[in-house]
Amino acid sequence: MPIEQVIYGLAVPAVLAMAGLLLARRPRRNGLRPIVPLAPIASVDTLPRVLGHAAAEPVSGRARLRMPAGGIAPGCAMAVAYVLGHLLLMGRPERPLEPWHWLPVLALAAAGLSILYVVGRVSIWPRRVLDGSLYAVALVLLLRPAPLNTWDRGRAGWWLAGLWLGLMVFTRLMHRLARRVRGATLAGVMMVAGTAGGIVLVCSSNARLGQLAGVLTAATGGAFVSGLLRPEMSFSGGGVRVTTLLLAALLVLGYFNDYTELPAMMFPLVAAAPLAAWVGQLPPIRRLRPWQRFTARIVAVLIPAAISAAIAWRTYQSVARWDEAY
Amino acid sequence: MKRKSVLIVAASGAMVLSVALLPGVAADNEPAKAETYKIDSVHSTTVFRIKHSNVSYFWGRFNAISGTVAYSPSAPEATAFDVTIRTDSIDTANPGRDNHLKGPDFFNAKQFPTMTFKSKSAKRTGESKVDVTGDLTIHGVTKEVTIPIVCTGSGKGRGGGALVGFETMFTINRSDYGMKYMVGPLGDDVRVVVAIEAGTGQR
Repeated sequence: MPIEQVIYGLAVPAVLAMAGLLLARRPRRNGLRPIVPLAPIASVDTLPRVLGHAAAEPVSGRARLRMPAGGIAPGCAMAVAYVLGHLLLMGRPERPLEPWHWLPVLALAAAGLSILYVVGRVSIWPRRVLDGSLYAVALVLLLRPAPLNTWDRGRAGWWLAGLWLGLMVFTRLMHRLARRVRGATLAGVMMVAGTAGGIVLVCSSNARLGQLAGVLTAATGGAFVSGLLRPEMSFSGGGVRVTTLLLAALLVLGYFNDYTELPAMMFPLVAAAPLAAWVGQLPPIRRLRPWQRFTARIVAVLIPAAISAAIAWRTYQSVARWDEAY
Repeated sequence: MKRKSVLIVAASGAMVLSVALLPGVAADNEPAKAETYKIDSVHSTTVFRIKHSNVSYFWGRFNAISGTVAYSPSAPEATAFDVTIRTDSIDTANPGRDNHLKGPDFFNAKQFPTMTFKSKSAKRTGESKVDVTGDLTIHGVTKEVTIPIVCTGSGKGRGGGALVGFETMFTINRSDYGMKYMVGPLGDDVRVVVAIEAGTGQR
């Protein structure tokens, strides 16, 4: 692949995402009202309670928003940036033959749902049903050719159900977090996770998926710069929906197409790394200045992300030493 | 005189009838039946050649080949191949590269565990040579190709069963089969050499 193609494939989504979010209008309240703050937090040891509270939200059905959603701009910017980068790197789309061919479609579908939610003022439960349907369709599209084709129905059902549940909880937690932070934080979190995901994927001999994670990183990197320039920017709604789905999809594909000796835990560790940004909701950190909270969140995400990337790199090096590099 | 004529006619009729009933003559009027041989994976080889960095060629192989061959020396047009190669048996003498080649960047061995060639017709082109036309399926994409095949020999195996050998060399463009990753640093055209030993005995 020519280096110019790689540069275009990464630079275009970054610039596009940044420009899209900088030029977007300031998000309005879209009918979702901030009601009650996060559950009372007494001490550091209440993190499990915080996570439990956030995870219970899909069950309780109550939307507790701290600030308005980001409107349609983040979702559109992320989806368009990713799709363009994907096409620039991988060429024009064809009849989907392999699971990764569906990634641009999934990005656009996630952005489309976000637009629908904002424009149509869709209430909480229909949104969750639609989100859940999108994730179910995404998992089937990604896994139906393999490994589902080799599994019996029981095993396939358990895997699909487990992954779907994990994806639902992960995205709900990220949505909830996104409504509590502004500026560059969420984009930065996803950028760090995308970078680590890319390294893990490349080290698992999935170079193409690693490059696509690079596109995602570039797009979130553009959003990160926008967030630094526009501290009021919100990444919630579409921004989170598109980027979490893409990150999870890439890592699921990498996990099931790994022929190396990479520890399997590296994939879920990278996928879960963004959740570490909840550390900013802990009382000692909440009392810090905004830039300190921002740094604490990024560092918290960086730790699991860096661990997984480092282990992946070390494993890769042990198999393919430089003197045997192909 | 009349009696002599009757005898001649009767004798002629008997000769015609007996000649017609001879097994060999009857067989000449029917299409020859090809014998079916099973491919001996231990003595069959699949190798390929691809250009690296637009500089040099390197070779790799697939270690698992199976299938059947229908062949008759007297009727080359009845030659038929049904060959399956397992993609995860790729071997380029570098484990890291083999893992990469098995993955979604190239063969995607989990989604497409086999490559197949199923012949549809054959045409004799010379002594022990046939052009076989059939469906070549690689990476989930099927294309009709015609490949030249040479019968390299035949004989008896250790168990007494019949053996027959074939070899073919042909070139494909991997991008035609949806394998477009790294076209440039790695060549698009891939030369494939397949040597098959097949037998009627059990192996």
